[in-house]
Amino acid sequence: MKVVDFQKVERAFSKSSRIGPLTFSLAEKQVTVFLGPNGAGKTTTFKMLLGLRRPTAGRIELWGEAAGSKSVKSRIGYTSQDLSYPPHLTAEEVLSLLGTHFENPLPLGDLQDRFQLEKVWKKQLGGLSGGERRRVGLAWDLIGLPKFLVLDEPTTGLDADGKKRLWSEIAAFRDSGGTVLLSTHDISEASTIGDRVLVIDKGTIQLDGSMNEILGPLDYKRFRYLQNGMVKEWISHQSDADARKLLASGEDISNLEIRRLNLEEALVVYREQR
Amino acid sequence: MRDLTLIAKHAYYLTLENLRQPMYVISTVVFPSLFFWFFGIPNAPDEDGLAMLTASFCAFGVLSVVLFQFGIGIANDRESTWYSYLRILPGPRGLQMSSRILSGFLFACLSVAGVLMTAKIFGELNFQNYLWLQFAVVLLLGAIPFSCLGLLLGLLVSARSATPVLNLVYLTLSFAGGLWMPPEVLPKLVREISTYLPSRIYGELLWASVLNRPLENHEGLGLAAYGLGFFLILAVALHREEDKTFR
Repeated sequence: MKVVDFQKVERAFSKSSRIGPLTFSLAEKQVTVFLGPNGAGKTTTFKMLLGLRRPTAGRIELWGEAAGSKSVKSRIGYTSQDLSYPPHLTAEEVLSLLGTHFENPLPLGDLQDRFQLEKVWKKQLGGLSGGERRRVGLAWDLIGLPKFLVLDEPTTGLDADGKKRLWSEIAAFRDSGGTVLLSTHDISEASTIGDRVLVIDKGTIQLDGSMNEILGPLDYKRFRYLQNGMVKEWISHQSDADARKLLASGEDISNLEIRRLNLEEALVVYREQR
Repeated sequence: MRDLTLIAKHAYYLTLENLRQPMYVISTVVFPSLFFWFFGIPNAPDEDGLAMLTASFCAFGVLSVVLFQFGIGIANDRESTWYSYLRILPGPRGLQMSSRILSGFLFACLSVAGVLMTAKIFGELNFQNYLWLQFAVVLLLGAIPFSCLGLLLGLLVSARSATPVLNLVYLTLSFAGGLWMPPEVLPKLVREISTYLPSRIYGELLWASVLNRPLENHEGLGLAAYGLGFFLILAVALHREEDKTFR
């Protein structure tokens, strides 16, 4: 069953600035990673999906209903990378307040245990670290027993343990029948959790497929080394073979560095080579 | 019913948040009473004068709440992602503003109670000689135009400029409206301008109500006209804000 259906969705900001047309759908029990560099259009797409922005053209439906309807809202859990928290309320108070919005919210005690919030439970949110606030944020995503999680850059501010916990929560949510859409600009994060990847750049979907299908075309590495006192630098799409060839060449090379290109860099190369 | 419960719960937590900010409590609840104690009570010529000044400082307290809580609060809300977040939760439209108004009403009651207690304790005002119920009704209804003004300013100014702008409006309306001292002792130019200010009209209505003098029709209409004007501009500003932020 389609949870989300975007049909030729566009959002114009000015004559020269727009995103779309975007056409894609999301199915149940799937974690889709929305991968794109900063400014690619991820957050605007999320806002349209959540009913916070109206598309200037096209149609967005969730479970066959319009985005932003009351019934849709009660089935979504959302967190944003820059979500500001009421600084003078405690974690318990904010979760109690948010729970009021839903028919059958999860009991606060369950959330406290599940997200290890005992230490921060009675603390005002303004005094928490970024990671602690993220944990509270994850608890409030799930308080209304959502069917669909929308997570905008959810790992911002999380340490390695926090990320691990987040991935395991997302996997458990998917396994229980939930749908997840999360955005990131980090390729390695996408490969950790995603069943499917949508690569967005300059407001349009550039690639859409499984993790292997997508990460293959974007797997570029930069070779950099000194040869006869000169710095040599080039980009390879078949790094293992090129590394073997280079080492077997017998050339006098030193200070060899091989680094995977980040998403922004990889997309530039991908566009140039297409 | 569910929507009302939500508004009440948001108002409760908003009140709690404000109570946890000492500077907010001092400026809206403590300051009007303190100011009244230091500058109002010593300058009251007689008991009627003291009753008038009590009414004035109650209005001063109400203005501080509706201008600061609504104006600065809404300006901050507009720039906060928490405000956008609340929009994606199931709940009534206008939840944030409704809960802010309800919480503001509670703080206004606290501010007024502080001034009345100060009048009783330090001014030894005999409350039985005056019409406080009538006064309370006028105080409440007369606060509506200023509430609209506070909300309007909150929609027009940025969070950064909200505090100085709201302070300027608050202090000007209070001083030039004759809420700190009887209008007769204001400088001549200010006295002339004063008669057209909504705060002066508010004051006139409050003084008449507490002393049981006949209420002037034109004053009631004047304040109603201000209220209508502020409300209409507020409606336009609200529409524009929605358009800019959510469409």
